[in-house]
This record gives sequence, C-alpha cells and structure tokens, in this order.
Amino acid sequence: MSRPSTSSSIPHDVRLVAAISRLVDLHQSRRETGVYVPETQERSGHMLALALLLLDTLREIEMDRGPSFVPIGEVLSAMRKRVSTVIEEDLDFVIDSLAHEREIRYGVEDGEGGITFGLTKESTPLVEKARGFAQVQLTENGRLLLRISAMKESWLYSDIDAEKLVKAIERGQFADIPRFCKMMILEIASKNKQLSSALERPTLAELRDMLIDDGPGIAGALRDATEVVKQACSKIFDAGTRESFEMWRERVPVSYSIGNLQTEIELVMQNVEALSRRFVGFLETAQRARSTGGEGIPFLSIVDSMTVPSTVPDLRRLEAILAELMPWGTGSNFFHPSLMVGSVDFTTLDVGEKHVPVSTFNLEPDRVASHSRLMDFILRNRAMVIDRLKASPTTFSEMISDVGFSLEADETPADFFGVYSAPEHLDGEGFRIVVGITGETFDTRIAGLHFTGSDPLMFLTEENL
Amino acid sequence: MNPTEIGIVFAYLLRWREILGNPPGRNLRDGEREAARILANCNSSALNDFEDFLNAQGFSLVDRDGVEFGIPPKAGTPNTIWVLTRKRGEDVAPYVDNRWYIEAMRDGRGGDREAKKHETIFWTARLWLTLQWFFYEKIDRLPSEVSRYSEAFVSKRLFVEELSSGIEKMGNSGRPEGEAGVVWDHFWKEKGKISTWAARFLNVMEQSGMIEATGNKDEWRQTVLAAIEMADNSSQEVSYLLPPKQSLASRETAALLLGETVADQSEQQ
Repeated sequence: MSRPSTSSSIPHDVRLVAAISRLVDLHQSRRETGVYVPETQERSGHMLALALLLLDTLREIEMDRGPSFVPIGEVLSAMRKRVSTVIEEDLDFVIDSLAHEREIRYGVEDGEGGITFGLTKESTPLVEKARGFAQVQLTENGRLLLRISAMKESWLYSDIDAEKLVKAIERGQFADIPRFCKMMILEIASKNKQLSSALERPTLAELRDMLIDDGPGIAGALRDATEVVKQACSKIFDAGTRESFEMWRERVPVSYSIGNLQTEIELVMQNVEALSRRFVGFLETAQRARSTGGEGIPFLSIVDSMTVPSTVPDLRRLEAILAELMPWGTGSNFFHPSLMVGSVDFTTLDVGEKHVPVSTFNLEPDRVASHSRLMDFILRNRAMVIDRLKASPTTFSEMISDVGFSLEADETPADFFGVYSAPEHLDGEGFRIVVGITGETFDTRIAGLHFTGSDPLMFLTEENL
Repeated sequence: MNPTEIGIVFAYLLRWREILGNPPGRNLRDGEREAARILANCNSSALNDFEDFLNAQGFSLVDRDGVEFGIPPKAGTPNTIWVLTRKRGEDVAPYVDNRWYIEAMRDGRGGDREAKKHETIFWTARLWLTLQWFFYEKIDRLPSEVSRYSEAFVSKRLFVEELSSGIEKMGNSGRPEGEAGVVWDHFWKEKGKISTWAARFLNVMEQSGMIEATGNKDEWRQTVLAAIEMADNSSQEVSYLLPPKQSLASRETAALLLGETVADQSEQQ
C-alpha cells in the first residue's frame, strides 16, 4: 500500500480536485442526513489517475493536430507508452464516465439581498464521444480544466504575480490597480506568516524543508517580483501615465487620484523588498542551524504535580514565580517617596536666589495673616520661653504647664507643640535651644483634650560653643 | 522623541501594554494612533534611549512587524506591534505591584486572611497553567510560536470542564500526606466554586490584556502581548515549576533567583 502523501508532494491537478471536492460533496448532500462524506476505495485513486492521464494525453494529441476526435485505440496506445498497465475496459469506463452530463444546481446573488437559482448540465462533461463511434475528444470544459491546471505556477505556489500590475498600468486599467495591490499585499503578508511559522517552530520540518529545497527558486522569484514592482513603480510615476490617468478619470469618475495609486504601489514595493530580504535571511539561518526543535511544556502535568508529596511546590517560591508570570498591577493605594523612580531638589534649580519656601497654615481664610499661626505664637512667646530656659533647663511638660503663654482668642498652650517641627524658630541672640531625650513621658489635659508623648528636656547653649 | 512624547507613549504602554498602529479585528483605542506615530517616527538612537528609560524600571519594549503575523500593511499606517514586557533579570520599579494578582484573585469574604492568600496562590497557579494548556499543549504549539496567537482560544465552558476534570482526578487519587495534603485541601474544599474561580481569573486576564474577546459570548483568544511575553520570558519561568528530573544546575539557578540556597531547599524536602 502506498504511503499517504504529504501536502507538498500532492500533484497539482489532484490539489485542484481536492480543493473543490468539499463543494461537490456539499452540493450532493442532504441537509437532514448530516454532513456527507463519500467513502472512497483504493481503486478510486486508480480511476482518478487514469482520468487525468486521459485528459493529458488528449491534450498532447490536440496540440499536435488541433481539436478533433481521436480513435480510442490510439489514445490507449499513447497512454500505454506512459503507463503500461492501462487496461482497455478501465479506459472505456473512464471515458463513459467523463462524457456523462450531471446536474449542477447553483444560486447567484440577485443584487437585492436574495438568491436566484439556476441549473447547468452541459458544462459538466470533460470529454465527448462521437455517437456510435469509438472516437473521443476534449470538450471546452475539459480544455478549461487543463488551462487552469496548466496555470499551476500562479495558483499552486501563489507567486506574487507582479506582471499584472505592470500590464494594468500600461493598458490604463487603473480601476484594477487598488485591488491588485491589496491582493499582492495579502499574498506578501501570508508568505511572511509562513516564514514566521517555519522560523518559530523548527520541528515544522516539512514546511521548512520545502522552503529550503525550493529556496533558491523562491528567492529568485521574489527578486524578480521586486524588479517588476519597481518597474510598475517607475511607470506609475511617469508623466505619460499621469496624463492617461486623468483622461481615464474623466470617463470613469472615481474618488481617488493618481497619488493614491502611487502610494499603494510604493507600499507593495517596500513590502516585497522586505519579504525578499527576510527570505534570504531565513535561508541563511535555516541552513546554518537545522535545529532539533524546541520542547512543549506539559502544563497539566505541572498542575498534577502540585498535589504529589515529592513534588509539591514551596509556597514562597510559587508566589515568586507567579509574580513573574501573572500580569502586574500599577494601581497603588498609598504613596511613599520610594515609589518615585527619581527625585528633584527644586531649591537647587535657582542658584542665584536663596529662596526658602515658607509653608503657611491658616485656619481662618478671612483673616489676613502675615505669618503662620505657629510663627505668630512663637514670636509672641519667645522671650518668655528663653527667660524660663535661662533660669534652668526645663522639660517640655513643665514648659507647657508653667510658662504663662500669652494666648490669642483661639489659641491654647497646645500650640507650642508646633515647635517640635521647627525648634530653630526659637533660636537667636547668641543662643541655641538644644533638646535632649529623657525617656520620660508626659500626660496632660489642655482645654479638654488629652495629650501624651515623650517628654524631652530643653536647655540653652551659647551659639559659639 | 521629546519628553512629552516619552510621557505619552509611556503612559499608554503602562495602561495597555501594547500599541498597534494597524490593529486587526478591533478599532484603534484612544491615543493609540498618536503613540504608534511617535514610535514609528523614532530613529534607532531615540528608541535606544527610550529602551534605557524602560530598562531602568525593569521593562523592555519589544517591537514586531505585523506582516510577520500575516497582518497586511496599509498605506500611511505603521504596521508595527510594540509590546511592553518585563526585562528579564531586572527588578520592576517599586510602583509596579507584581503581587497584584493575589489581591485581584482573592476571595475577600470570611476565613483566615493568611490561609486565603495561600489558597489564592495555589488556585492561581492551577488556573494559569490550565489556561496555558489551552493555548499551547492542546493545539500542539510551542511557546516560541508567537504567530499562532490568533489560533489560541479558550471558552469559559471548556475551561471549567478542564478544571473540574482535573480536580476530580485529583480527588480520585486520594488525599496525600504532609504539605501536599494541605495543597490538596485548598483545591478540594473549593471544588464547588470552580466556576467562580474561573470567571474571576478570566476577568483578571482580560482586564490586563492577556486575553481578548473573540466576539462570541464567554470565548477569548490569546493576545499578541501574552504570546510575545510567553515566548520571551515566561516559558523560562515556567521551567522552574517543572517538577520531575530537576537537575542540580536548574535548582541552583532557581535558588539564586529566589535568594535561597540549595541546602535550604533540600532541608525543606
């Protein structure tokens, strides 16, 4: 038994049959019995091969002597020269089969959102038998099939058919150019994807080998295509083409200008050049390293291993690995200076002018304050604090309770707490206030509020000490 | 690329993590066209500077030509795909919360907070690995095959089915002793809530741009961002999760990354 063929080794005419086979089966199927897939026998291959051989032989004869009936005996001997095992009965069966009409029912869009149905029979036989004679010839339908099959270069390898672009410009068929360009761009994109597949999966040996084996040919075809597109590009920028476009545009009103067509063709040129370069790069890489291929990851085995004693993952480690695998978040509910990637000291920006920012805090927006509330408090009471400290070092709590602060209407001794944040405001006149930690705490009530905290000792030193 | 443009592109990348000048199958997002234009107009020196800026924060910008994935280019539109990924081996900036997934996946209702966290971590691992199974193993695809991202589908129904059969299989094999038994309990206890876990996880993955809706209800496909990240980084991290036949070298590498010593690990085992 023969080995099933891989897709790259299927003969092109069989590819053609295979390509339309599901349409024929669908056409033949009944909706109520489900999807129809006819069973094939091993003999089917033999019959199909004979049919293709018959058509090819008839064409060869036709090319020699023109379209006319040929005796079946002559056809048989011509076929036997190529395949010695052809039997006459088989050939008769094939000829009878191909000469029979069959119905093809079809529908075409009616342009009003519906479908109009039709039926054809005459266009189906591939050969014609002379009634009552053992003579056979190709029908127009058979010739059409052979013509399509012969154009395999353009449909099987789907080469970038750049020639048609040049012809369209030369013949002034400007309406076709946008569609041609789009088709070529799509072709380039799908070829690029094919290359990516071969590069990304080194084990995709079949495709890779096909590309490498046909490499020089493909590279040459791409180079040629690049040249032809360049030619198309220079033609579309030609003054003559511009003139003929304008004349054509007068006849056929379209929304685009010659500039649009120039852009489209330039895009094709850039991309075909890029594909050509990428393919050459691919050939170099692929030939240098025919990789043994990557390995897949057994994801579900890893899942199973999580509950197996010898392989249970460590929680901390799993958390760390997941932190790398799962998407990250950037929303933070808090701010800390360490969140900043960099920092700037704005005070150094203006070197010429020594500017110390003064922060202000005003409880009464209506009141016009020249200083902050704390500064007002300190300036008013500063002399009293210094006098007290000159007498003896004093703890913070004694200062609060003993010094009779001069207070404004809404102030309490608790305002003195602000000095914690800016003890330098008390300094001056050759003195400096030093605060020493005592380890004691204070606990007091001021105006009905409970205050507690560490109770530092404050004392004066002379500035020059 | 002036500082304003850096700001525009960086802000967009932080939010969406990918910029496509010519996105197939969806419309351009607000600001995407501008971000794509800025990047497309950059010369290599400006791109290198931007890369340095990103590297300092533990990120890297990966660019791929859309035509490599079969996306046909259009005139006047950049066809490049830019993706913000982690820079392997670098710490991410402190403002990035890479434990975000725990909060996003956690079921905050009731229970001991610490125990809930452990449960979340093990469940997230299970869900993530099962999702990757859909994207790779199930369709015979290697992590290196980025271009097949558009073939990688998952549906909520199949996802839940796969998770359920995994939990059932685990249940049939019985509760193991020791640490593995604790993990087993985390899964078994929650077996009635598989659908809830799955929905929450798929939601988190969609929100963060790892999967995108296909147009059918409860059906998603892998994003190009997730595919590139998997090919570039994640597949290597996953190797640290592989349990059997761990070589000493890979244990040492893992230990080095996690700041452990190999001796510590053997003690744990």
